[in-house]
Amino acid sequence: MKPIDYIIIGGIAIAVAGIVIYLIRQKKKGKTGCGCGCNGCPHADKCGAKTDNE
Amino acid sequence: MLTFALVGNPNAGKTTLFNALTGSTAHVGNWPGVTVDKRVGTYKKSDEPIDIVDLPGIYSLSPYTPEEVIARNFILDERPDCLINIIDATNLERNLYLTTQLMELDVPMVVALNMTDALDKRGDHIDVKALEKRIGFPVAEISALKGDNIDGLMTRAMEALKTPRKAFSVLKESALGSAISNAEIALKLKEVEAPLFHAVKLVEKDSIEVETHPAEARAAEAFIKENLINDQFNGDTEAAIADARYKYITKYFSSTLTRARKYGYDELSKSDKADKVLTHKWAGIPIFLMIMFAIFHMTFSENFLYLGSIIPSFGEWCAVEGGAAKTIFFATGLNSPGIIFFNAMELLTGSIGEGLAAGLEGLGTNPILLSLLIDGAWGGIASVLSFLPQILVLFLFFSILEDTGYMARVAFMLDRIFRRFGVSGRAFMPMIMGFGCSVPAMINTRTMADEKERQATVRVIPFFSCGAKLPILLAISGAIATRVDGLNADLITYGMYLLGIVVALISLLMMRTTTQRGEASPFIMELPAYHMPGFRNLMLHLWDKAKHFIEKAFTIILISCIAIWFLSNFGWSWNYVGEEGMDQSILASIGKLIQPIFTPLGFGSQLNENGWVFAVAAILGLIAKEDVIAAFGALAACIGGTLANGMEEGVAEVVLMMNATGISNAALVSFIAFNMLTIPCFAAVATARGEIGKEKFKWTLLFWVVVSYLVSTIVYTVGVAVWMIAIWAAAAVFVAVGIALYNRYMDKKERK
Repeated sequence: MKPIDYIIIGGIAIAVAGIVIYLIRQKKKGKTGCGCGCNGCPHADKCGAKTDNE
Repeated sequence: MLTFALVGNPNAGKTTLFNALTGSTAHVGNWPGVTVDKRVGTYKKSDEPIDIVDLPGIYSLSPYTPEEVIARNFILDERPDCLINIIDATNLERNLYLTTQLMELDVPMVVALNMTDALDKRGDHIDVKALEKRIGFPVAEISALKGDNIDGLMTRAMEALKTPRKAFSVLKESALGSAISNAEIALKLKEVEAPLFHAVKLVEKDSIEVETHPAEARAAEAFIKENLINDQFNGDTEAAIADARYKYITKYFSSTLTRARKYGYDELSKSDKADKVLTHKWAGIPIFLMIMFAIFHMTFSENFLYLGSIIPSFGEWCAVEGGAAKTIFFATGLNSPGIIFFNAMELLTGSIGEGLAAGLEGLGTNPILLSLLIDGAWGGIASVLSFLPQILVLFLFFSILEDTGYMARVAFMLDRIFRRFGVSGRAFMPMIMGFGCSVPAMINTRTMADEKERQATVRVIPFFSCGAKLPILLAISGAIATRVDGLNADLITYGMYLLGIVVALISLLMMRTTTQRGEASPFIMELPAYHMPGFRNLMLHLWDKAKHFIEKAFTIILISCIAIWFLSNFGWSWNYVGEEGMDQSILASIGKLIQPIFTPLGFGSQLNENGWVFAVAAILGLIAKEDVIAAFGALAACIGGTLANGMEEGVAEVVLMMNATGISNAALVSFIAFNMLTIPCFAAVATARGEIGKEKFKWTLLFWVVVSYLVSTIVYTVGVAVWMIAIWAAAAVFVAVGIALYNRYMDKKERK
């Protein structure tokens, strides 16, 4: 394997780890919603929150 | 930090003002329920930042609707530093009704008189100084849409904080004035905050007040019975108070409004004239369907205005292959705007992919890693990203319809039809949001008062194809159109949207006559005047959508594509099998295991040895619907064969899958139907679970699986053998009779 291959493998590993951490953080913030982001969404504070049904 | 609350009637412009104050890109709809709960932003242009709370649109502070309860509780319990009461200047008297109630609170207040530009266009005029003098607190003229005098409004609000405001009631002069004064004294002795407001509510027999202060409520009622003479309202104090408020508004506030001309009772405004056509009893719905078809045509058609068919020589010229520029603009005819942008995006992603491949090859990258990056990661992302322009074009048209006020009319027109299926037109609003995304659509059902009607609506929302399902629709319908002469992708796409709506209505009817029995709730809604949508708001909304679509592509979709590549290129012993050995890969094994399940739907065991890709793609759609096309994109190179030249990204991969698996057109349509109707993405599932409750939710999951499986089976079997319609029709009649008998039995039981 060439140096470029190690760079690519490292890059992919970092990217995947970064994305997973980002998604977990989004979920903990309650922003699991539609993936469209909460900025400007009128239901931002309801998304992922507990409701009366629970 | 200071907190200011925006309060006012629906459609007065609160959310537009909120956007202008805080820079947020909240979506502005023209019917109540778009803002269900409060939102908080920050105004940063003052010396210290100010929290701005956007309360739901309300007509009064009585606790009849969730919005009114939310707004009232926030004002009374969280005590904002200042209330900004936004008023639609074109409906002064109706908007001032709420103002007269807010005046009974001792919170500093300022009136934001919005839409005065619309008033000026009519030639009418409000004497703002006179209105301010009579109301007793600052009035600032603004245009929330244009951003005029927004900072001036905030300056007046800050000044209002310096002078404590004394609560005042317009009812003190009325026949109930003494009863209100007595109740106020009693509440002051109890050291109740905002005693005047609570006193008025007590006399109104407000349910919350009666429950909180029963003794005072009884005293007020006794006082009124003893002292009120000539009671034209027969003890209905709420009606008496409403009448008194409007009389005060007419006497003291209405004279500040000067009309350019007297409007006759039957004189029609421009909006009314437009409504005579657009909401016509018989023509209204066909006009709506035509508008929707026009939108789909402008977004998906490769033969715009059917020019290629109308002028055969032009069509022939278009079909001849040319350079990149020709490919972008012409196909079987002139491409629609959506297709033009799609082609341009495809050219861009294709160039990036080629550049990336050439660069990495030049660096001597390992072929396996090259395959991972180009075929796996970029192949999957590019196939999804290519559809971004068309999604945005579709959303742009939907947003225009919404912001002009037309969608509110559609909800009204459809109420007549929806009632036959057991729901009111109010259910249309969350459903139309479902065309964007199921998650906020399901949350929006909280504006529906009837719980059974609400849960039934939540269940059918996924049948309204969301933006994430568009890549599936576009890629497969585009691929089918390459096989069938004369068939356009826009027709198939439109048909699939209609299928979802039909399935939703039938499902609603079945639920409302069996498990979720009940009558449709009443539907009352204010129709705003038509107006041109704000360009800035539209563009901000589109930018927000684009940003998060790209974010999703480079997060969930990217990870999914990398995972798909691994599972399709490695065997169970983690040995690299590559394209040639894909049949021995982990993904192929899993796919072949689940493939038979989809046999009745046409993309199961009847396909050849590569047919498992459709089963796998359908399952991957549960993570994110875009993953279906991303999976095709990632697997296309592994399946082998050559991507067809001159075809759009996404479509080319599907055509390759079609040729590699032997799937029929009917099975492809069934595949679309299955993905449109089945369990939605994880986010929507989690939201539905929260809205319906854990206990009932498992039945909802089963419902989605059964409906999607059944409808797809019907689509496939009828597509293969048209005579199957007769069998399915007979089965439908049998089920309908069964439901009718059950309905009759339950009606009798309920009457007993």
